Amino acid sequence: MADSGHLSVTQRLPFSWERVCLAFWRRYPNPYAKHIVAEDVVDRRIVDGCLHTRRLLVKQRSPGALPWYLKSLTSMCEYIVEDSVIDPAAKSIVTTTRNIGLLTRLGVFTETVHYTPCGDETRVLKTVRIRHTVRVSDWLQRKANNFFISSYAKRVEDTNRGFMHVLSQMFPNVVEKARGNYKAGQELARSARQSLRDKLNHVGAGPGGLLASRRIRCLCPVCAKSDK
Amino acid sequence: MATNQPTSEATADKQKQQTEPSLPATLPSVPSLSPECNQLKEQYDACFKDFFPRFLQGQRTNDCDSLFSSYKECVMRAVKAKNIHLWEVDGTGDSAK
Repeated sequence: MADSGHLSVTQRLPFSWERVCLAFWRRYPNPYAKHIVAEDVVDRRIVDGCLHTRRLLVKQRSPGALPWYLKSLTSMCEYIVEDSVIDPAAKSIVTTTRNIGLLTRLGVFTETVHYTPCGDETRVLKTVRIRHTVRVSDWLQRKANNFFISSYAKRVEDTNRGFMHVLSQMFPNVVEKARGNYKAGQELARSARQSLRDKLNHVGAGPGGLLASRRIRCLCPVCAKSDK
Repeated sequence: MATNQPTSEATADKQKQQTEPSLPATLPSVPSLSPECNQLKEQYDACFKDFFPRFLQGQRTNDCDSLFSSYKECVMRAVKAKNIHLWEVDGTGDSAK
């Protein structure tokens, strides 16, 4: 059965791999994943130093979420199986998420995600593939593939935002430090722009300046001090 | 009198990160597939939250196995009742227990 649609996305989480691990089990609920209404661990074991987990997630769709040609194939409630392998030695999380239930009559939508460290951050590589399970009309399969891929592309940023939301709640100091560095940088840039603007206006080279056309250098103490 | 003081904020932050406490219990959680299993799920989740940071540090024995088996039994009953074909993703015929 050939793959009939795929998409790859690379994202980053500005938190260490260890912190991402700790938050991994607390991704739900979050404001960007209100459709996840239930979650259960159905299997968990340690094999060769790696933690293998299988979780069952229940997704509740809103009435307008599916196009008309897919509504008859499924209910508003969808079951998702997430398999994850956490390897602390290799610092890697690999998750494989797929749908089960009525829609698998048409195709299986599989998302594979790799979380690996990248400096002080965690690199997230997401790959999604659709595999046909039964041959239906070319039109329906093409429409379904396009719908699933485009739907995934629209919400792939939201899944990262949801994870960020949980990480920010669990580790607010990291967020505040990053935010503080960003604000300090913005402040420096703002004051540099302001001082340049003041200098230009004082010399008259700024907008509306009388000396703009003459290119005269101002020798007053303000401009002399800023030149140093 | 010499005291062991962190020399910089970065060092203190690194030390704090290395001795990261267990997962905070204040975050909300998603309920179980069946309301009957919620309490068992909360008990198991609390145990796992204590175990998982130690697993990342190198512990390989899972302290929560007994809590997990009773929680899993409850979940599997709900899976069978709702006729969820949980193991069809493997295609290996490993039936749900």
